[in-house]
Amino acid sequence: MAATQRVPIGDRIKTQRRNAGVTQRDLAAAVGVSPAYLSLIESDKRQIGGRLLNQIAAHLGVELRTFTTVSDDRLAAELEELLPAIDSEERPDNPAGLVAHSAQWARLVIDLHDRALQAEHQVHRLADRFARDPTWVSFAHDILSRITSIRSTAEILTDADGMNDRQRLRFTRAMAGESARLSDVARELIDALQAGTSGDAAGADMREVDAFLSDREYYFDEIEAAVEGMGPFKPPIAGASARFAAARAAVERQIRNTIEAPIQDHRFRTEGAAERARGALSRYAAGALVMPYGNFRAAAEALRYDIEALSLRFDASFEQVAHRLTSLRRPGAEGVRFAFLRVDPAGNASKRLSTPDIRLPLFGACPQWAVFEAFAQPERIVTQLAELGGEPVLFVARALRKPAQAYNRPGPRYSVMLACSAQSAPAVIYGDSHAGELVAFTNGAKVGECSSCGDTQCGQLSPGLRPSW
Amino acid sequence: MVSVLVAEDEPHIAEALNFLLRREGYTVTLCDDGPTAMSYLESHDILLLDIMLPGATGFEIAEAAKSAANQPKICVLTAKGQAADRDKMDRIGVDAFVTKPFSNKALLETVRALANGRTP
Repeated sequence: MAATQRVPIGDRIKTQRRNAGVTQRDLAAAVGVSPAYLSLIESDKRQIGGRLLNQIAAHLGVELRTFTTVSDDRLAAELEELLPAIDSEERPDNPAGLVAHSAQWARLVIDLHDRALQAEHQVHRLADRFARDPTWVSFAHDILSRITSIRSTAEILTDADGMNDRQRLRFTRAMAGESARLSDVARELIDALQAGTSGDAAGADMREVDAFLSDREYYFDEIEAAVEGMGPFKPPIAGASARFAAARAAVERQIRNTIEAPIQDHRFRTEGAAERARGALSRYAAGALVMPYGNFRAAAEALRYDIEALSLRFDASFEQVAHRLTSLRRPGAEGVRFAFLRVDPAGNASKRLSTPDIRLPLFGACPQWAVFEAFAQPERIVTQLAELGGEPVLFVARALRKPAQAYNRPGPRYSVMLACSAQSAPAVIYGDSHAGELVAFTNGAKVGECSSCGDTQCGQLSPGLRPSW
Repeated sequence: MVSVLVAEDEPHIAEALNFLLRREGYTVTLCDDGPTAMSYLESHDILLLDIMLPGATGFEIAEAAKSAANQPKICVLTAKGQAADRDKMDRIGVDAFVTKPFSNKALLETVRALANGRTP
């Protein structure tokens, strides 16, 4: 899979320049490049970024977001992910160009793909249930029996030679009774099917919330500022869970409106999605209160992103720290950019925070990834160098278990994983064990995404497990 | 006169089969569980057997019928999706299958063929 494409922005620069009434020569002079070079940029024959783009934006009097947004890059990355599902002869070669031309159409394509993927998973799930679940076998038998008796009885009544009135009445009543029973069974079946699809609605909500958080790069400046305004957090309790719960209660009490504002601005498709987002931002704010941005970032850099050391420093859990690390995106004060994935032993993702460069799948994650290997080594941190989208990525994972409910009800197990670009690995303590590999990294690791890996010799994968999208 | 044993626990299906077969001139016995069906096997020429009966599996009854001295012809009433069951019944050596939901005409043609010693 090719490296993630950036959305071409030359046309947007040209448009904004013309809107501002500035000639190519004048703009080039203002930002210190030749007109010929500026022409190449506007024709997307040269890439541009960083300082020069900032200068152009400043000179034209527009915000940097006018040229490119994180959401545009995310759209381009998501379109890239769809390409392996398309037959190679028909595969388009410029998904980023589609985003530049019309982000709306790009979003529609992605949305349609998501729905098709949902439908395929639902079909597989239902087929499996029908084949194995005694409930569905019983449904099928009941329906078949009712239809058989109705059909046979109807044919008898249609060809009623030699039938007396008493017999005709008996068969008519039998058909009425069987029809009523068939209606009842059909209703029960529809109710059962609709109950089975509620999980898919939850999956759609989760994806919408993922996109919402991703577009903000998991950083909410207004919430951080409001939390800082609350003052130091020093509850008279110990223990990560209790402190976090107290923090959450405090932010929901004191800065509820600040937490709610981004949700109202976004206009989620369902109330379920809005509620999920509300919970996510409430937990975000609690994390910001327990681990204030400035102190946390400084400690993270000093401790080289050692999650356990940070956990001790801030009296927060492993997962709380891992999650907070994904929010180090304050402009001018960023930390290492991390993506985050949480799965259960069955491979179901319950939380996914991707970055523009690291796209973590909801379905079809490679079973060889560290996030699954961690289950085999509970309470130990598992690190791994992997290839994702053609780029080397460092994975850091740990399996955890929630507290037990009772003596014979152990808490559920799950695994959390952080992922960062291998280029950031020297700043991260977990990269030390892969130092030699980072220098010599090629395609040797071959641990990618199941759905696009292309490694047909992988012994981990059986044909039936490979999704078609 | 050809005698047919109908082993079917759905009462309205059994009633319809009873009416159809009697109208065609067959002698019909109805039973709605496996043990009763097995007790009547040796006194009938044809067995119409639903694959899901209480008290005994359709396979057990079919095997018992194959072992009976009079060797009744066996016609299994089955659903299309039960392919594995059909394979197993084939190995036991049943004579015919009628798929639910069936047309009365198809069912009667199958019973007629079995009564005349033909393979449906």
